[in-house]
Amino acid sequence: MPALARIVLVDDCEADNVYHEIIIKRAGFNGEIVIIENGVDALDYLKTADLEQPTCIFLDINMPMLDGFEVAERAVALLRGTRAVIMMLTSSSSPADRRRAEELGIIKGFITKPLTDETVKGLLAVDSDAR
Amino acid sequence: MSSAPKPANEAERLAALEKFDILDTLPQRAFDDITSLASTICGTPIALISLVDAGRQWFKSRVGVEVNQTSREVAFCAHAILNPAEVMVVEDATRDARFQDNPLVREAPDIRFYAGAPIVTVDGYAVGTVCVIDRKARTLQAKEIEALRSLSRMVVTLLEHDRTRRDEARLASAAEQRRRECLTAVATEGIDLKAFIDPDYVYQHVNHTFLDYWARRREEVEGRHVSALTGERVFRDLIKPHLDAALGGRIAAYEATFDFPSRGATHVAVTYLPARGAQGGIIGVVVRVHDIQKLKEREDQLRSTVAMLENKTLEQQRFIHIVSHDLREPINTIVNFSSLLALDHAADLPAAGRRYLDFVRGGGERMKFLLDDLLGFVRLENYVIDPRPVDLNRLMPLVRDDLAMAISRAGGRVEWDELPVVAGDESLLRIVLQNLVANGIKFARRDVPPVVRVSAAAAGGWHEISVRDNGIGIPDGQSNNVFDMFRRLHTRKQYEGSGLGLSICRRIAEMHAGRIAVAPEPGHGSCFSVSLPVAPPSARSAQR
Repeated sequence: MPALARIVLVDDCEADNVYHEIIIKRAGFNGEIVIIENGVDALDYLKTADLEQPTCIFLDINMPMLDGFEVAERAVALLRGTRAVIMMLTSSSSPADRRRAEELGIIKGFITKPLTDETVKGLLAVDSDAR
Repeated sequence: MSSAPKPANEAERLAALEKFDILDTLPQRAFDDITSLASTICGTPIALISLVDAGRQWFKSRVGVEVNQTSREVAFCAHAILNPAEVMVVEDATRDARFQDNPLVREAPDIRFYAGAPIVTVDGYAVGTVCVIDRKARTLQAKEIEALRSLSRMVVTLLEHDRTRRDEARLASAAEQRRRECLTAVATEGIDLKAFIDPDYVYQHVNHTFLDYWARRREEVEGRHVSALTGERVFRDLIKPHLDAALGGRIAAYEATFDFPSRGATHVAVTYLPARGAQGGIIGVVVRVHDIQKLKEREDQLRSTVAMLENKTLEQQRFIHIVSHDLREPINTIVNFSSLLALDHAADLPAAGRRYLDFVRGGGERMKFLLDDLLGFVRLENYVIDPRPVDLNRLMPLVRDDLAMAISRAGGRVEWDELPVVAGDESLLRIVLQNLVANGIKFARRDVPPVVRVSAAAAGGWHEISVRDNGIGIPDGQSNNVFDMFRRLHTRKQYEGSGLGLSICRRIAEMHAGRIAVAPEPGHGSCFSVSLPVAPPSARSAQR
């Protein structure tokens, strides 16, 4: 089974995207890293992307136009039957946001920023085991 | 003829007579019986009870005489009273110098014989006589004279008795008058509007306050229909249904706003009480109207204050959200990139540059912890705990693991005795233990490896959890301050921290209805103790 092939970072904060890209690479990820700066573009990307590739989409919550939850809700249909999963990667640690993510179902994880070396490594290990 | 002189005590005598309040009263049977007896006993055609007034004699009772008074000048009795102790007997007036030319002797009623027993009050004043008169000269036997004396004493008794009864009646009527005044005052005075409405919805009585509020005169209200005051519509829709309930025997109460001419729109509490007559039937409705406008205004004020506070709370929550996101993001950026900079490029920097970079990293990290603690504390405000049994023995290894890094860095140790199961919120209690243990590790003495020991004691439904350390302790007089927000007793260089940890612990203890306290540990160190409620027995066994 192929390991995680692609990580999509959806975040309007450029600094966070740069930092997360570095952390992901340093944790040993060799696949494709896609950076998208708003929810609308993220949905457009998901419509055309080859989601048969094992893909992890990190969604920030607080974004202009569409927030992370709205993107997740609209992505449900696009992701059905694919090998893509969604995780929240946010600066929020609010229990209310965490609860809402759990209730949405499609969201497979809730990570408070910043992404750390251990988190990425854990993700890569679990992902390759699962596949 | 010679008129009788006035007695020496004439003024007092007249006063005594006056007090009986007998002059010019109607005939009374008891007095008439006495004259009738006197006439019969003495066998005379005339018998009188004569009272000697200032200028006349007046007959309270008379037999055989038509007139009811004569002038005092001609009165035989005016002579008789001069000697209160004696019955005056004139056997033949024509032979008595005092009376022989008296008109009553020379003309009708042609008095020849007179015998008068003075009526003497208990105070000794002769106010009149019981006398018998004949048109022919004659004598009286001793026992007849004695009888006259007895009859005059009876008259005194009767007069005294009458006066007592009259005085009592007067007193009773004064008391009745006062009672009526009190009742009227109760009904009319006071700050409430009061009224009595009869079954035809007509005001029978209203009090001053009622008139004052409605700005009407009494005659403009009393005797008028209720609707004349309130208007037809208000009467029909609001007042009549309640009045009918009261007329049906039930107490009716409602609140409403009336437009009183002298007060403007005023919110009032109205009570209608059924009023029952002596027979138990309902004779009307007692109305009480209590002005609660001020109360109402205060209530409105309170409501708007509550709304404002709720609004503030919402604002506060929005603020927290902003802080949690918008502030955290730049802090993260500082922390993230200063770490990367240190990691990747420290070697390229001069010594001063590395030092400055350390300050940036340190400041960023502190800001991050401070923000986390602040958010944790503020979130507790809205947190409602749902107490469940929490086994502290299970919690302690988790706490130790959370703090593993700090413990090993300090070369310290965490120990615990057998701990109880308490009723509480597991994640909050974990925060408390974590904070207290972390403090014990953090505030170590130089060169003394920190040891933190957690133990428990039970006391009356409560568990007292103690966290002891062997550290620097708390300076005298500061024990109570350590729980205040942002209270730090040490410089940042000495000991890291936001100053919020113990505030959070106290807040959590209070959310469990518990307490937190600190005491110095003998030797060195401090002992923090938290009291927590005992878990119910059933829950405890389920937990184990």
